Amino acid sequence: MIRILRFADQLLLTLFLVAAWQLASMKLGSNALPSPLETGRRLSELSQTWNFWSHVGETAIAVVIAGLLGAIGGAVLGLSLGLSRFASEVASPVLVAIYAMPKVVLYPVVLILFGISLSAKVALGILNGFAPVVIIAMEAVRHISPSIVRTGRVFHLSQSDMILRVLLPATLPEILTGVRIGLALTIVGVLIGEIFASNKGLGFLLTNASQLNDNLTVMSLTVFVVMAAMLMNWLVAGVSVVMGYGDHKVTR
Amino acid sequence: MFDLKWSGIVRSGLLLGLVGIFELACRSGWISPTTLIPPSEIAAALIRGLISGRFNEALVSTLTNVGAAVLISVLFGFAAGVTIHAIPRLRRAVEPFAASSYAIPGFIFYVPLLGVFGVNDAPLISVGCILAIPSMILATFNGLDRIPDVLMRVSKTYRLDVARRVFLVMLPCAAPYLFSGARLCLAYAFIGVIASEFILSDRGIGYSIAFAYHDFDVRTMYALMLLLIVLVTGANMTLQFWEDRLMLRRRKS
Repeated sequence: MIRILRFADQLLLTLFLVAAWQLASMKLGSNALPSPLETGRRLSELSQTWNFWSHVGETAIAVVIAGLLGAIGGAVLGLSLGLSRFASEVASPVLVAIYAMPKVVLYPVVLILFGISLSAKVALGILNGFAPVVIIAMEAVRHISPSIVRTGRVFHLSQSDMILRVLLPATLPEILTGVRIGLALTIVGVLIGEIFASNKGLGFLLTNASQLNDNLTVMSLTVFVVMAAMLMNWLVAGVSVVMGYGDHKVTR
Repeated sequence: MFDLKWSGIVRSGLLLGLVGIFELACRSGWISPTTLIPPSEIAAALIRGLISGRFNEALVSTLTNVGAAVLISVLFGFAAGVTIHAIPRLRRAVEPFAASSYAIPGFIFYVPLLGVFGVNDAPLISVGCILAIPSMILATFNGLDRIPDVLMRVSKTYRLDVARRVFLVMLPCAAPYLFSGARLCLAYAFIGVIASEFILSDRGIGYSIAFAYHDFDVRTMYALMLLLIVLVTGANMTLQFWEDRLMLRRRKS
């Protein structure tokens, strides 16, 4: 019953936000801010074209590659650093500083290194997304029961076995939380890559529409990207729930 | 057991070593000068740019916009947080949205905002606010949740009016958490403003870096990147230091 009430309240809030958007559109004019209905119609038109989905596919491929590399690399690095208190104390402030940095400034360096390619988009995605996975995995190892680590050492497990058989299962819920944050930032990185240096993908479509002053398409793509990002976030949260870890609250 | 100071020394040593490796690699020609210039030359270019005042306009523009975004986010986020916190039903509806706001690529709103406001400071500040406000709202919830009931009951016993209750009891008690929210606001405002300046703007550090890149002015580009890294890291570390002190004081009390 409480869940139904909560859902009803969230639905009411969503309706309120859509109504506010409609009012703002009426006040500013649909050329400056297209209404929700016009945006929905345009999005429906776009979704019926093969071209739109080919751009979505391009973005999705880059996000999946960058997301996987960032998550696996970040988790391995975080778990390895977390094993040593001293190593995590050395690395922690640097990682936090990297996390807080507007990494978009590094895009010229990425372009110089990779050129206009899928690799550049993936690199920007990883740059954006790996830090939270490393930080959260590292902190998770520091907070697991010391007896678990000691038991692993008693069995003379190698570093790789220690990570795969002991640390990873013990910290998986936290790592999934890190992956949720990392994935959201990976999407940002990939879109930035597409906005600046690509002729494919949703970021490119957005820049193209903006240069043509096509605000309706800009708004539709914005809504699509926001919905896709939320969906990916809920999917990872769903994986966490299905695996029996519950929906860990994400704190920024 | 290693001392905390040791970790700082080792960290500094590692970072200096990394800079030294890049310096050597650039000087010996392993890294092409079109890719990266020696770190010492980047630092010299930054110092020259700051002394000559060449970066001042970009610096002032970015800092003004970041400052405005932080101020608006902190004030609006705090006011919204207090209001929503007071209405449990509204909080139940808002909290999941605010908690999953990190998943929304906020800078994407910059392009439609350009359509609404035009190319000026307003869309830049707005994107900073869009990214920062949810953090402040969540930090306010966090701070208000942690005010002990006994303090609120004592304030009622003393018949404090709402303003005194807020300024003498609630704010000091929630201060460390609000400070944490303000620190996050600063980080997100920087990210939002700089990313937007990159996409389309005619001023600011982000715009200047993009301009230098397109102009093949690698020296200026890296100097401005270094300036940004120093600015953001310095501001974050300073605020983190004060936040830790506030948290420590709260734990002691």
